[in-house]
Amino acid sequence: MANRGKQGAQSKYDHLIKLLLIGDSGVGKSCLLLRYSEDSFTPSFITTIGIDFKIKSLPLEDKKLKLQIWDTAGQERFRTITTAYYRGAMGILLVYDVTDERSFANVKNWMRQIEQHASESVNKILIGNKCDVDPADRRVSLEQGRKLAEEYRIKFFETSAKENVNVDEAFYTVARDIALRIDNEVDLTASGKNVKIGPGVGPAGGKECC
Amino acid sequence: MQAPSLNPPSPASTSVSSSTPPPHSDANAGTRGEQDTEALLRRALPPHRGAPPPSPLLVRTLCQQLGSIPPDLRRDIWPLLLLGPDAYDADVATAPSAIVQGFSGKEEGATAGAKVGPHCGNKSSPVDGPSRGLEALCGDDAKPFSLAQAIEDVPLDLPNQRVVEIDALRTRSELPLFKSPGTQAMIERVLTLYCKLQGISYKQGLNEVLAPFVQVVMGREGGCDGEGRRPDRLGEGRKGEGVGEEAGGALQEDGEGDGGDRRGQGCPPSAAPSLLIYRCFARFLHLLLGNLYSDEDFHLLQALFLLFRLLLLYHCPRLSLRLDACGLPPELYLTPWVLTLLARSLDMPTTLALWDHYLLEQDPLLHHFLLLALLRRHRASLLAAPVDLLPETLASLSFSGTAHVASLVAEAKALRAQTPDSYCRRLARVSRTNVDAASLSALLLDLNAVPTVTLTAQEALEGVLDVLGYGEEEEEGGEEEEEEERTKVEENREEEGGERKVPPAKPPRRSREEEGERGDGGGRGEGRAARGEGGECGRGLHDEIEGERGADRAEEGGSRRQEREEVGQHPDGEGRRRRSEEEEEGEGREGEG
Repeated sequence: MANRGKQGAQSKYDHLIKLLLIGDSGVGKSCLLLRYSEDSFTPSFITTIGIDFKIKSLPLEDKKLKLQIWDTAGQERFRTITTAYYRGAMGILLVYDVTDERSFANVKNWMRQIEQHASESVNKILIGNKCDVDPADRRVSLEQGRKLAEEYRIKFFETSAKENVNVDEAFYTVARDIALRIDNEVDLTASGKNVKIGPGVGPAGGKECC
Repeated sequence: MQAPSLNPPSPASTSVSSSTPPPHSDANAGTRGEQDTEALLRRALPPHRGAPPPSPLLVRTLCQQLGSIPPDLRRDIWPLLLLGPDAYDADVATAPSAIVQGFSGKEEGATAGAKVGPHCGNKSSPVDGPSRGLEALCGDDAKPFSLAQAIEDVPLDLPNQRVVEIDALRTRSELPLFKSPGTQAMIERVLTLYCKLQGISYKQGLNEVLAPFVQVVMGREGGCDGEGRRPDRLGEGRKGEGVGEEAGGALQEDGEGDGGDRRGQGCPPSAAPSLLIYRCFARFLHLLLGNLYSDEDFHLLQALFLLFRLLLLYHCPRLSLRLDACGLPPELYLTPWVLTLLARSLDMPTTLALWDHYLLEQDPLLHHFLLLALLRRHRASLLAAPVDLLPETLASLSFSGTAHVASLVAEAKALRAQTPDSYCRRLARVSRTNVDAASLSALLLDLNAVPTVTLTAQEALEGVLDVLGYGEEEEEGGEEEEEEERTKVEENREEEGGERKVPPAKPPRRSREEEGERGDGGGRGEGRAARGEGGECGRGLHDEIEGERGADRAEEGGSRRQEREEVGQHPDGEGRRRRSEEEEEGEGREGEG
């Protein structure tokens, strides 16, 4: 009945991509999301409690992606609850505030959370938000951010939700990487099936042949 | 002592009936009566200086009769309902020794100030961590503790003070009152002191619970707006008196102006509002959320998730199963609703209107059933929403306006009445659980042993008799026997089966809605019993009871049903027949929904 409609709507996109925004409280996760999903900015956002959701369509070459973005509460206290949010996340945007050293220092704690609770293949990206601030107020340099991202081997952007700098790019990058990964996984699964039909030849065997 | 305000109004104490009054929107019937009631209220509030405050019981009963609290009187009524008569005590700001006791971890005393002490008892030795610097606030023997002073002087040095600071800036920041730096600073101080006195860490959401009290105490018109502050008309007399016959704006303005003026006279202007805000906030949290915020890891909240899932499954099984299937367990939508009592999801006037009911009822369970009613109301759209949009649809559920509030509250009460008492008791226990490790693990053990809403034998029997169309009188026969042993239905299967063999005189058909809800629940426990016995009459009855749940399972929960049927060892043919019947019935029902 009502569910039939669901089928129709589902076919409107090729991939539904679940993204998770994490990072300390007040670094601007909700503002980034608002900028990205509605292209607006408000300096006085309300506190995210638990989790909030936004959806955004994103055309990618010949494919239609739907990004379902989960905006989580940054406060450490919510972590016992937020672990549930990591399940099923395909991409994680880890945000810190370039004016707040502590939020930058906490990146490693967030990375540990990801390791513990998210799937291994999840795509990660590091974001230093509020890069529009006066250089005098900046506490974390571009170079520090870049270096940390390199350490974790993840991509890095400095963004400004306020001035709309790099916001689209950050979301686009992670979404594209995920779409590529999914397509590859689908290919792999498909080829894996083919291989299975031939007796006794696994992917490893194939490699040896080459 | 606010004991009177905590108990339901006794009919004997007033001429007004304590039963639920018609909602405010029912304007035609009670216009005259409502005006009289409101006039009575306005005569009593706010009290003249020196005069004893009106009885909270009376005020509460009048408001219940009215169906709401007049917005301009909230500033007087909310504190009265929460704090009792000493809400008006101008001296409350000084020397409540119980507060000082609170610092040293003793149990709360009986004086007014005790209400701000560590209600939660279990966290009452705030010597380390968040409570640093309290000694300085306590003063010495010569200088008694003053809560008002503590709010002013509290050191802003919580471990996560930065979060408090940020949250103070972004609390209801769309309202002019909350844009003022003074208000923001006060919010930060109140939140900080609250955490210190309770010995807890600051948790987001507290700010949202605080905001309505800031609006009510400091805003105009009981929070209906935040702007248009008129200059205080100091020295004017009681204008609000006897203006009950007038309706609307003029009346409200007068009443409100007076209220504000008098409060201004009664207390020091700087300290008093924050003191009143603090006391109301602390009391409200204690009453409605118990230990939820004292629990550093939100175990109690998670226990509530478990219970809410059962409740949703019980009343709206199809919706519950769909949300589960779409990966949206209560963890993903309930947190802000529960922790902020919906304040975060509703605009300020709607929040205040809803909380009016919470204050009048003082029933912590009402909120849970209101959330259930909210989901139920949007059932159709939630069932229809495509899976990619479902989370957003769910998270943005909201309502606005007093009419919606009144109807949702009425529905919540109805749902509560249709929910087994045993469930309600379990739910009520959760937020009162001590947050020490032993109590928490006992709680979780208890909850994990509950796969579904269970019925007491008495409830099951009542449900059966109800469906069979026997009135209350018949029920009472069984009550005495049943009441002694409150056990799960399954354990009393034989006895139950016996009862069911009462010839099924076709009951008068209840409304489909009602039937679905009740039967849904009844069916869960009873169903098993009926299946176990497999009696003919049991089946007919069961079909009747199954109601919506059957339909739901038919569509989405096939596997679950199979499980249940295995449990009940129902003969195959019969099972199939019933299933198809359920499906048919379900289709019909769904059309209605």
